[in-house]
Amino acid sequence: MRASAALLLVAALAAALSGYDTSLHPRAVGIGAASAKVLIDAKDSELTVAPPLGAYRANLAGQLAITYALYLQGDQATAELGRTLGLQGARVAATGPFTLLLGRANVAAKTPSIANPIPVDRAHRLVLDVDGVNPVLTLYGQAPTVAGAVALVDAARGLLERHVTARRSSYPLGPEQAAVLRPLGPTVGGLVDPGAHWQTMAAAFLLVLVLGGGLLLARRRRTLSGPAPALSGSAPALSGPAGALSGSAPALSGPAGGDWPHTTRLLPWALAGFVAMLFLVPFDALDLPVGLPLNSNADRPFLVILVALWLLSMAVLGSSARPHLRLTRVHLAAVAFFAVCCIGVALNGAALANMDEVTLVLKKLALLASYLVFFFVVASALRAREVPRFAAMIVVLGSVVAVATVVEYRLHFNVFYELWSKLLPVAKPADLDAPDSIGRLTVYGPTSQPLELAALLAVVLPFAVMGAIDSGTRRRRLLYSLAIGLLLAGGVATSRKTSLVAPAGAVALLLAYRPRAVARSLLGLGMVLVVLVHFTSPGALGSVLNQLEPGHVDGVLSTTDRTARYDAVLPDVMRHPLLGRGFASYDPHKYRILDNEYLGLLITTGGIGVALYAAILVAMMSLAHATIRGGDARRSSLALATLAAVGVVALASALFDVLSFPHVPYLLFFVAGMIVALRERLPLAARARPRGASRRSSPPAGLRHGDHLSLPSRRRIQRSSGEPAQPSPARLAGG
Amino acid sequence: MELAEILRTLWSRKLVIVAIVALAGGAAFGAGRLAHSTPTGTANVQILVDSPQSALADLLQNTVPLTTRASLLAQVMASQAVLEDVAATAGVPVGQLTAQGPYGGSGRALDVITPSEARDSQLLGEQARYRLTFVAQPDAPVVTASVQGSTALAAGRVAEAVAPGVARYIKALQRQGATKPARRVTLRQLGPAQVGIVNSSSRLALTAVGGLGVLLLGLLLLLAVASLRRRPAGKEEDHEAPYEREHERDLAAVG
Repeated sequence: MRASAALLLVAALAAALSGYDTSLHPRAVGIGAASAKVLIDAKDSELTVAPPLGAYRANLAGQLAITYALYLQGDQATAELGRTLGLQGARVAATGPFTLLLGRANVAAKTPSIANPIPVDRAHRLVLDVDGVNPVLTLYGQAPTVAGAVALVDAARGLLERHVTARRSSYPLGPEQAAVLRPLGPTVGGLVDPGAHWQTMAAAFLLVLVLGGGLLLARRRRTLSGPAPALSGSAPALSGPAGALSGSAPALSGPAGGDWPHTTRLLPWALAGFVAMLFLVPFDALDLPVGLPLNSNADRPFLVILVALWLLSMAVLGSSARPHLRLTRVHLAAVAFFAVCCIGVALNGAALANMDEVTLVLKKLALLASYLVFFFVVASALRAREVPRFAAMIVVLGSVVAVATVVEYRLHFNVFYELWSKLLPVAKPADLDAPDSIGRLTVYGPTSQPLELAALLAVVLPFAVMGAIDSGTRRRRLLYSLAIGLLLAGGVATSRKTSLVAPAGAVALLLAYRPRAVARSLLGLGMVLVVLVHFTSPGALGSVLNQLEPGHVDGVLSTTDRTARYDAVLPDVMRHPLLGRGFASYDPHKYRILDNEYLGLLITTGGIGVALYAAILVAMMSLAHATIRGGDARRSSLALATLAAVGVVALASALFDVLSFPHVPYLLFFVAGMIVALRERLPLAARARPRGASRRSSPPAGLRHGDHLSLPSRRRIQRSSGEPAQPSPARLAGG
Repeated sequence: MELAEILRTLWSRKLVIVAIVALAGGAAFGAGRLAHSTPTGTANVQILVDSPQSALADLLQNTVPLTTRASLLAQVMASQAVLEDVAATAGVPVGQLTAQGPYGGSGRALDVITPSEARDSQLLGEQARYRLTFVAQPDAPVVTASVQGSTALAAGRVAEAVAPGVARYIKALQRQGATKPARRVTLRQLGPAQVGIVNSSSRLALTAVGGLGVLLLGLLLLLAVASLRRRPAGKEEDHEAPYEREHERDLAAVG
């Protein structure tokens, strides 16, 4: 009780300190904005006189507008504006015109810049914009307060008027020639983030409350339960020589219905079909000739069938064959994220409707709900014994996609789009197999974005790596090694930096858990892989490595555009910092392509949404971590692969808007289902093992030797990784 | 927590469930109220930029300069100066109007990604009751004005005020510059405003989404609290890591 009160007090203090009014120095939390337009005109207004007088003069005035925009960005003008606004020796920051895309780093050659004696006050910013054709100059101002922003724009307009008047008087011109600046109305402005202070304080309060509450809860649980040997990786009782799945066949006869693929249960077969669709069908571009509410993509009817089968299984099957629904922390985080998305949309509904974005948002909410429903079905229907087989299936499907990607890279023939377009109406991307803005070939595979394809293949990679490490036979190891090579080659063929960054993240996670085994395996494969990748996708590896070189990685447009967005979206973030402007309402085609899921969620679902999205990923990884440390070698290897796969998605979320492209999220939630299934309690039949039954000699029921991921005993893993062997549980138990 | 246990937990807290459902209903009602200002009306009107002796009837008059003028006028129409005249003509406060564009013809380039400073102005206009968009035709001296408003009638009223409002602004300039009547640019509205209904199902959808969000969050909170209360008492085993303990017992039995 005392601790809770102290926590509340600390949280309130943090909230107060994060607020604007209590700080020692006022901080620029507020964003005041103002804008005004000026028409570059003649005494006899261009707007009032009928042709033929105007056309040519208007064109010249358009050019003059660009000159004025550039004049107001000059050192003298910006310093004078700083003086007018009382910025204590600093000048305002001025840029533009953005409509003409001036000042892009990779277009204009960089010249050595001279250190400026007058510092720039970045809180006072002026943007001048012209379209290059019409003689209208638009001034946008941004300052910590509305009055400051309006004063900035007014000062800039006044300065320009004085400048033009001075030039005009120094060289008298006739009324037809003399330029006249005609203000198009007063300067209008407002506060962009009126509730930002309170929302920032609320965010600080919630953050401290959640973190502190979590710490208190963990402490309380530790006090009550003492050390938890069951979750400790070194717990002797758990270090069995063989996993829980590798008992003798009669004792481990599976639950009713059998395990996939040796089963007549329809649900796992339907799941396998859905996963196959994720890899082999460009379903996002495939519009079914039937009208469905919100969306007619192929995944929806398939999902409806899955859910129908799931409900049928729940209603008809016996308890052992029935899907086993359990709420885990992943379920909680996912549903909480969905709920917060719904609330955010409802709160900002009027503005969304005003911007004609409600339909888009509802479609995206339906897609998010589809991911969740899919996860619920997978997590309840999948059995632990089926996980290795599905993992193997994913590796095979990933390899098929990788081969097709290499074919597309080399022959400019997209197998998936071409074949499916013969059966169903497929909307082919306009830039399919065309070079992008920096000359990279746009390779799609079955997805609708090269980045999505690179991420999809990277998610599969950990399963292949763990398969290669734990293979029992040379042939199987060779096949898994080939799969690794193909997955890397396919990824690199997309020519995206993500194709190397994401697998690197996966390998780093694998190394963190199994440093020696993974390093030995990959070092042995390294040279072969480089040669394989180079020969299958010639030039692609060099192209990607070139993009990642120190001089290029921060200079290439795909990187500078990403970093430029952080400043550009600040008003959107600060307008609704807690709950955002509405899930998926920031249409990249309408506003700006962010290529960052976290940033997109920060705008659309606020800080709470980002925290919950991160919580989903963390929950998945923590569940997988518990299984890795659980002591069952088979489950541990698979859980490690799933953890790395989730890590890939967490990394990819910083590189593109993952949730907008359904292949990767569906696969992520399938992997999450595998994680939950690996935590499954053993069936009673499996637990009632006869005394003295051998755990090593016989494979588990429904899992024959060499069946899919053939994982060795923990002892063999320890031997191969050089880690110290632990005594068997039977020995520890006195057996 | 397993399905049967979830249902048991929910069933044992019927009163709380009722409270949550009531709260969700309230949230849905609130979302519906918030969405009440959702614009459901739209209206379009076309304006011909012409000369006193109409270019449409004069075989010798070149329309290209008029097209250029229309493009310029579309930009000027989106300015505060013209909006004030449109608002005065329509009889609505100017603060309720926001304008975008032009997104057509030579003004197409304006439909670009915007930096932070310019985005501010777009955000300020998001809540405005009437949104006006101006599109200049690329090959004809015509500007199309689209108005989105709270109702079709209101949108139509503002759309009907666009041409007179712009004309009022132009006439003031002509008076100021003493432009001769024969040289004056003339605006002609091409027929009455076309009105229609948009976003008709938005309110209902937003109401449902609001209610669903609160309902889910409430139920989750209830389950989380119930789960937290049980754990310290040791009445419930750790459902997320059960198999290790089972396995431990299992192995001990083997020993």
